Amino acid sequence: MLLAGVLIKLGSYGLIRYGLGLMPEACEYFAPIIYLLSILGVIYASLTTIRQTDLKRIIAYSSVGHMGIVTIGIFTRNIEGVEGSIYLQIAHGLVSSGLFIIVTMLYERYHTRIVKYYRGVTMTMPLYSLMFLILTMSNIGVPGTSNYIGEIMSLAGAMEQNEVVAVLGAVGMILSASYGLYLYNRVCFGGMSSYMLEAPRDMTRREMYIIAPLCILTLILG
Amino acid sequence: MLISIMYIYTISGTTDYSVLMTYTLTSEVQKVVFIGFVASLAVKIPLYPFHI
Repeated sequence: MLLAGVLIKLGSYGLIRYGLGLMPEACEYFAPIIYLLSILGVIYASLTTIRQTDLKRIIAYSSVGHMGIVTIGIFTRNIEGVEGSIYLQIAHGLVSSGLFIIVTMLYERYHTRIVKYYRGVTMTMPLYSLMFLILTMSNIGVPGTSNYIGEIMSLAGAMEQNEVVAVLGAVGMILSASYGLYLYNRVCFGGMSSYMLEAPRDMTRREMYIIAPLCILTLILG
Repeated sequence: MLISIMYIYTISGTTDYSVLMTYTLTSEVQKVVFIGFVASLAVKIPLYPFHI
């Protein structure tokens, strides 16, 4: 949770602070290869995410894809790109750690992280499903959530520099929608799974207090 | 990254960030130092060939 929320942003902080601040010419010189690596990262990581079956792995790999967009945003070296990447980092810190918390709640109840085990969580845990939906939608980047602003600004900055980069980065967003909706659909919808024999309980008040600030902040920032 | 920082230190004589901002590195030095920085920071940001 802390790794996804805070530690990942250390790298992009270093790139903004030292890369853009101390070495602007080198940033311009090496921008194409960083674009290339970021786009490869976005598409490859998203495709890898789709074939994962472990709940935590899906979320962990999805953050690789989103940080690719952040790197593209930083190396556009214009206002929209850098601001958008900073915004996306804040948003991703909230959403990614929120998703990890929510998956851990499911793990605490059933002690497994395999997606195939879960089905029909909506029927027994409505409040949990609502919070999960908000966080999944933010992870995808639906308008109205904070990730959308970061992504659209980063890609707008990239469009100013290089159209191909922006288009290929947007392909990564489509793929992120595919795995996000795949995850939510398999876990929350459908009939009750016969393997889920334990009596499930909805979110407790303590869990609600943990997860509500992340959801509310995500929606307010959007 | 440590080697890059040490290299900056041997050239400029300081590692204070606010002093370094007033100091312009030449283009060649920037490129060498940048590779060192990115090689370490790309592991933290999961960039493609470094993340697995």
